[in-house]
Amino acid sequence: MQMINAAAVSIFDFAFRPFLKLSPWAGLAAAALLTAVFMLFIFRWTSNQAGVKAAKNRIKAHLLEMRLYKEQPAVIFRAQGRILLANLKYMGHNMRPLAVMIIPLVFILAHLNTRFGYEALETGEPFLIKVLTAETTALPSAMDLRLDVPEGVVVETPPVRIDDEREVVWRLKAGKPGKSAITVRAGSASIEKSLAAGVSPLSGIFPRKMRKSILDQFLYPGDPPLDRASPVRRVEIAYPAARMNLFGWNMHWIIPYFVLSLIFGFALKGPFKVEI
Amino acid sequence: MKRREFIHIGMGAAAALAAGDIPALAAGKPGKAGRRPKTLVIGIDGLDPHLTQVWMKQGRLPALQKLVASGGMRRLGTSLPPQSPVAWSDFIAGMGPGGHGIYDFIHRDPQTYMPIFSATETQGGGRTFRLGKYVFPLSGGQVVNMRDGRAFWQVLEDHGVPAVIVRMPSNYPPVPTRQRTFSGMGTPDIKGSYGIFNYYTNAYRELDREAGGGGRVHEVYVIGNRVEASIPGPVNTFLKDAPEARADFRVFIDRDHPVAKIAVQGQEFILKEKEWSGWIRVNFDLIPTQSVSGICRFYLKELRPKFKLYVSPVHIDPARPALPLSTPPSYARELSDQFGSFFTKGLPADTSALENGVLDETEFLEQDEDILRESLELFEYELNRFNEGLFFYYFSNADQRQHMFWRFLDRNHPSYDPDLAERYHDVIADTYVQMDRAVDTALRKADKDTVVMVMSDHGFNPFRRGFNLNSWLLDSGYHRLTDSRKRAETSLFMDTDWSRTQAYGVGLNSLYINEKGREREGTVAPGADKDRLIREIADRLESIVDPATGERPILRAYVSRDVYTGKHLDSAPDIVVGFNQGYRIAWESPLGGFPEEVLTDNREKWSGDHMSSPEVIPGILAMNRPIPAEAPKLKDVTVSILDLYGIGPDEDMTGRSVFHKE
Repeated sequence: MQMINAAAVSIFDFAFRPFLKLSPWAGLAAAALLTAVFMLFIFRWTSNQAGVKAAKNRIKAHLLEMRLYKEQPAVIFRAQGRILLANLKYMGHNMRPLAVMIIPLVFILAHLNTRFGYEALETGEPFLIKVLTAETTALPSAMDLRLDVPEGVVVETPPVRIDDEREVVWRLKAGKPGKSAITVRAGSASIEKSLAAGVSPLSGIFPRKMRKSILDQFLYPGDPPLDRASPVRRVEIAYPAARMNLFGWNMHWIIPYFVLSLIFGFALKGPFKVEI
Repeated sequence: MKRREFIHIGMGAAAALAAGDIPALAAGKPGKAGRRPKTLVIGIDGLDPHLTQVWMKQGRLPALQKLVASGGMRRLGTSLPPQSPVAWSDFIAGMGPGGHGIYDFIHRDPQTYMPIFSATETQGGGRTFRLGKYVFPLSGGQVVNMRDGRAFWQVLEDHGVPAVIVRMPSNYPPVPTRQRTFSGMGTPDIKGSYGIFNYYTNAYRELDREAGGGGRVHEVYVIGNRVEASIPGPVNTFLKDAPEARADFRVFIDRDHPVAKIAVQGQEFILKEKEWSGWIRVNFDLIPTQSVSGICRFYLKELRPKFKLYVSPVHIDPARPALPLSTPPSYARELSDQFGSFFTKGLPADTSALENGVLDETEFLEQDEDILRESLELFEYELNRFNEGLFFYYFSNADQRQHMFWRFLDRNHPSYDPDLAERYHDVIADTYVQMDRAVDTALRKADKDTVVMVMSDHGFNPFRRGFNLNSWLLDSGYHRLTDSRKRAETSLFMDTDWSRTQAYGVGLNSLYINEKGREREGTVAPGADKDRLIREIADRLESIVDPATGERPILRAYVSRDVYTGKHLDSAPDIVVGFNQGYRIAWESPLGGFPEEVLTDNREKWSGDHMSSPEVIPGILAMNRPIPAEAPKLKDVTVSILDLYGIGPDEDMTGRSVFHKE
């Protein structure tokens, strides 16, 4: 999983490179377009296209039947039942492409979230770094936990150690823009956590470094995972949440992403000869 | 451009050209309606002419010096009484209190004798519909601006002159206009009050001082290095019994280090001891679909040995204003997008926290410096896009700091402390220097056609001795208590025998006769009886001598019928008490208290004030144009601004242009 994530990060880095200095809308539109093409492609090759077409035609035919025979309740009642049946068939034809798409789509969404879900830290603005220790280790206040920070990053406060939450948190400030790494030292263990300040979010913002587990690596790609034996179970930087702004209306990126994907999907289904 | 406007401008231009007065036209000479001048007005609350002149002579205020050298400076006659809401109302409406109806910070309801805020009235929703514990209003409530008379920027708007009015006092809620305006002094906190701070501590103590707001002390316990508490918000009228909405927060304290993490509604931040947070947004949930958003700042005063956490009054969030802050409403959000969160409460410096010792002098100044920084950022932002019409900007810092730090200028002040004075004696001078820098910024931006005015609503003087008006009325037989043994404990006229009372004091300068037909239990017949009583009380007030100083505490007792005109004369106090230099109303009197002593030393930190007779504390008017009028008043500045655009005063305005000799 680690290798897949690393490869995916490289691909996304490459894909978004032309958009780094543009509005996030440009990158989001490109991502939605590629997603639409990808979904059409999957749908085209995994669905029963003839069956989809037949189910849709049957629905249309029964709708027409209802209009033509609106004075005959028995016919309308029968047509409604058949529409329902055709709908179920149509949904059944969608199951296979959906099953094929769901895992890659969630994988893509998790990666896109690292490009659109967070803002990079602003230089000069304080931020928190939080370390959660493993249940098997000593309490945080009894541990030797330290931070090594790169040039330009300042640790502003001593750690706040919250034993019952197994949490240690510091306030830092990034003095200059760029990507770098903070090293958390826990006894003899040394853990690197990426840091992004004053850069385009499209270059990838990775808020959490998680333990090695399939689900966590799936949901939080970017930083290499922590060993299972590590005294630390999570390192987290509190990046501000990003919002897409549309004429003053701020929204989560996933809303315009899905809307654009649908628009592109319907627009391209003709040229791609896909029945959906 | 409107047809009338076109003709107006065209005629003005033709007249100027015919008279060969082209330079005057370009410079926007008063009375000419030619090319519109730009006018920049900087309102500095409480800028005192005497101190200004002293520090100008010392070369500490070079920008003001430059401004005055290019035009002139006059002492500016303040309002009667010289309280900020009254004074700025005079300026806004170009008329006196009889016209705009604001006579004091505090008015009274003659039916209940209870004090009420003069500037606004909250009108609740009408009928409600109840469903279980929920109460749904069937019509909305509203906050009403009680000031009457049209604001000068409304008049400018009628004539097509754009204006930007930022933080104008006595303009809450902002009056309807298409001009960009943002409300100032009088804008409440999220609870609808003048500003209530919260103080969380395990060293509980009562707050005993009211000074420009209030506060609440919450006793908390540190359990397992953790404190759990909540911030009180607005009253939740959607629930039966209208409880306070609250926003919970937790403080996690490090075992050894003087540092803590604070978690509020999903936001986390770390503070070291003696450190301020930035603005933190807090949401007060009312019902599942309704919440109110506010902003506040945390100050971690001490972690050990005692836990002490100060939370500022919760300001209305400019990003999601629960109450009207601006015109158009989108202006507040625009500024929030530009600057993030910023203070919105009318007088943001927490004088009450300093007065009660919750914040010390340094902590108070740290807070006020942040306020000034935010204020200057907004000032420069608007200044940079100011390219036509009028721009007004208001600063509150000089007023608030003079109230609290005057004791360090005045060795004769009862609360003078030589050690503290050594540290803080320059605070007021430094504040004047900071104001001078703002003027300098303005002058650098202003071109030769821009009229730049610096004005203040009043000056300042020491508040050494307090005069208990109600105690004096009681001792003189004009006021009666049901049981005079209770006089020291009573407040809000709880023990007054109204059936035998002839006069009472409410507010900071106001004295009312208990008039038959006006007051609920009036005893004095209107007409000759009342007039005789008013003259008698006024004469006696003016003849009082303070045995401790040999001075007269009251310079003049103004009979309102002699000094006010306008349609709101009926709601005026009957006598306005004009104090002598060094004197002010004592702390207990404005809200109906009766301490034993009539005259007392003021040993509070609130040590400078401006409740005097207007001639004692004029304000200031400095301008880069000559000021022919020798004794201008606040309401004259209003008319002068209109005059710059060739606009005559509105029919109710009583001011006269300062550009014409009296």
